[in-house]
Amino acid sequence: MPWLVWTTPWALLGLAAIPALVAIYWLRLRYRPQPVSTLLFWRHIPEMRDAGARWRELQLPLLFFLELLVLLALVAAALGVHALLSDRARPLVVILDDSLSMQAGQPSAREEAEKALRQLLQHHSFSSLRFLLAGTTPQRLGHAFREVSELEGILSAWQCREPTAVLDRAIVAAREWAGADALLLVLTDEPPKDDPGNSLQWWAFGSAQSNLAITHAVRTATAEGDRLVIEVANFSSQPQNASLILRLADTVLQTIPISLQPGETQTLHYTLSPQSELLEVLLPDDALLLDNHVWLMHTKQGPVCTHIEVAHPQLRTALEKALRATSLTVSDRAHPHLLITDRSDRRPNVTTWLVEMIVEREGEALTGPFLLDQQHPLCEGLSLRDVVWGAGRAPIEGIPIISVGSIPVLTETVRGWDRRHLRVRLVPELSTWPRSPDWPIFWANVVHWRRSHLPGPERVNARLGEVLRVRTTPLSASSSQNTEDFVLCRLPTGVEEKFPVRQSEAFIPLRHLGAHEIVLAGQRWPVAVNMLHRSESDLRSRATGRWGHWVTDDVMRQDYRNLSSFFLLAALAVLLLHGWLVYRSQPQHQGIPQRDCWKLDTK
Amino acid sequence: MDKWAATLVRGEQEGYRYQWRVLRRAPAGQSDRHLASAAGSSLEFREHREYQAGDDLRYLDWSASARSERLLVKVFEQELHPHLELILDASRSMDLEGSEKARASLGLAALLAASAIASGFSCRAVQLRESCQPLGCMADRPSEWSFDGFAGRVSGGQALLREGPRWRPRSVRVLLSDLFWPEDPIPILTQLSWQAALVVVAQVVAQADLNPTFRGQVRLVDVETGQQRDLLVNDGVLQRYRDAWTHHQEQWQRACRQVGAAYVQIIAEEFVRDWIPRPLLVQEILQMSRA
Repeated sequence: MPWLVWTTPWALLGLAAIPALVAIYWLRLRYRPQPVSTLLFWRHIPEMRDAGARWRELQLPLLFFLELLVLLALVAAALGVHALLSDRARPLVVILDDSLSMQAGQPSAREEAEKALRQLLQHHSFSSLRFLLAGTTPQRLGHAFREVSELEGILSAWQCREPTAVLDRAIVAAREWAGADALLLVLTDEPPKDDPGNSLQWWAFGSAQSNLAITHAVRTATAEGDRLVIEVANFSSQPQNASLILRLADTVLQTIPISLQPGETQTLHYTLSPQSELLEVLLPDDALLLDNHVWLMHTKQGPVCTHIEVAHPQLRTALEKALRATSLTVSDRAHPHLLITDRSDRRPNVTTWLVEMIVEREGEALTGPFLLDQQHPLCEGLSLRDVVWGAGRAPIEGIPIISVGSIPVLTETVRGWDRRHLRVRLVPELSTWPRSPDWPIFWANVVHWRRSHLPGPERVNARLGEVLRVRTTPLSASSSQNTEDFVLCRLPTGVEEKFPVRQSEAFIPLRHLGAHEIVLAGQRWPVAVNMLHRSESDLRSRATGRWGHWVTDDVMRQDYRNLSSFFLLAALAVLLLHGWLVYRSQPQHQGIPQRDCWKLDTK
Repeated sequence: MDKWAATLVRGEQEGYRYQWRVLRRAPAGQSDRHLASAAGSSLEFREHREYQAGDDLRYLDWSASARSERLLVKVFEQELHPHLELILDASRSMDLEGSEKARASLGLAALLAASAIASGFSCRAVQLRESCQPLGCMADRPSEWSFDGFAGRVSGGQALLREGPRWRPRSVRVLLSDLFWPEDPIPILTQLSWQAALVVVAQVVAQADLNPTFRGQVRLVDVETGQQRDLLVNDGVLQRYRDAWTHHQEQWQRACRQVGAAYVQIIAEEFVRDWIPRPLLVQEILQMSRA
């Protein structure tokens, strides 16, 4: 809180009287040049500084300073100066905008904000300091402290790498954390949407700058090659021309001239042969460097190993056809990821998911209604319209995913941490499902779902700020209670970070741009992390300014003392001294006849 | 034509209206003669007078001395060409800003020179600066003088004492100055009047010198020396100024009486109003020309 505040700043206009006072004294004290033929006849007349006039000459400036003091005291009294009571300092919570756009500009908004914060802490007093990082979610930085020396450690954690800063939530969290008496300070780069209200100051250090950014980039592996989709946006009020560079390692594949109108977004499509794992896309440097460089990894993943043990010939044929249609499977009898069997006694190893086909001999031809768990990944795209499902009425184990009326026809049972056991009941002779379009859709869902649970990161091209899920094998999961089981993430800087595995999964927060490497049980997966946050790249609405007040009327009453009366008394005292000096300076009070007071002769 | 040249022309034109009255003392029919005031080389005996220290012993009249039992010398009427030595104080104090002092001084010099020429005088004009410098050739009319302003930075009295020119004996010598000199006037006037037929001291002053009108807190700046003095000027201070002024003037008048010089005071503003040198006319040094 500031040591001193004033309630009526317009009273500063009273300072305009000081130049007037100076002018009066200058006019009064100045010597008017007067040319004369000779000083011969003036030399016996004492000068101002001679013959006792020195005292009078010195007295005038003294009077001037007294009058100046009176003026200043009156202005201070009119300002309504209030001083902070020594025991009334309040806690301060500083909310730091941790979003990427704080890095824009030179110097950046973050640097400016840090500078302003240091100045604030030099000149203001608070009972304690707390810091809150405002990113996607609010995050406390350390504990409350009073010593400014602890600031260095706190600020080093302020990296501005979040894809967005939800300041509203951070403000709410700060109020909950520090209590109702706390003062809040938001350091950001954008103006507030509404009036910040009481006890909150909102300081923005951004500036509206032109920025050309890559806002979206996708690399997809296809049979023809890698398809590339790049979205470039011009966040400025001027047309922009630039060159987009596609680079493989140190080799420039292509330089693409682009021209964008103000506010325009262009989507560029390219097809490249998959020559390298890592592809880089670059734009020239501008206000925000982070959105000018994109890393894209080759996305092709390994196939799902399947094995079919179904005796029913038509059903087996239909299954083989459906799996082949996904083009994501290979047959592997020894270590299948997915075993489709009609035997209920099969106990596969821990890495194999089991689809048990319950081929019934008797049953009913059910036409509906079909009840689908639409949230389940296996039901994605399924309609089962006009499908006849032949099934018996005997109960089957598992949680129903698809039911016909009250009869479950597809159920799921979770084995271990992550192993699934699906049961499908079917009377092939009564069913039209294997011949309907929903049949290959269902099996494609099964393959994709299984594939998404294979060990490794869930995706190889991610955005900054995301949390990447890395699956481990159930074998690892079995030892997941061991705290030494971890996933290693090698950052672009070469630094390695370890993340613990819980229930066959590890979660890696992505806080650095560039090519990462995930290492798990001897296997390595490259992962590219890019900014690709359109709202952070658009700097046009950024601004600099300060909004809000800490010192409200209530705070003023409780924590400050009004000094106006003190200044008024001081002014009065100085005025009395001034009057006494003027009285003393009158000639009749110095024992000198008034007429001769300036005729003092040295002779 | 610059302002000095215009003043010289005007002074010269005005000067032809006057004659030097000392010529009236010459014997009739000898208009180019002037009476000598000292014993010396003779042409025609005039009278005897008592010997004075410095008189040439050759002119002692021994027989007349024997008869009267006093040392008598013969005084002869000497035929001389009348000559005017005009000395103009060209120090900066003569050019006081806001006054007519400079114009009056230079114009009066031209007037006196022109009237002297009109009266049959030869004339030599000099200006007092750091030294005595001629204003022109002997034969020059005042309008032909080369004068480039009052720029002297030392007292005219000091310049006169230091290196005064050799004045022509029996010449009429006119000093034009404000006499604001700190030096004792006696040595100056003694030197100036040595072998002079007539010495005229014309003090040219401005109204501002006589009667300062400023009041209040002023920084007096000496236009000649640049020295400054901060004063609060009121009636008392002005009275003291006037007292000092009167005292100084009386010193010069006393000195003039002592060496036989004529003293006149010319007020610049009054003179340039009609260009009539009234004090010189009153003292019968000049008279209106008959022509």
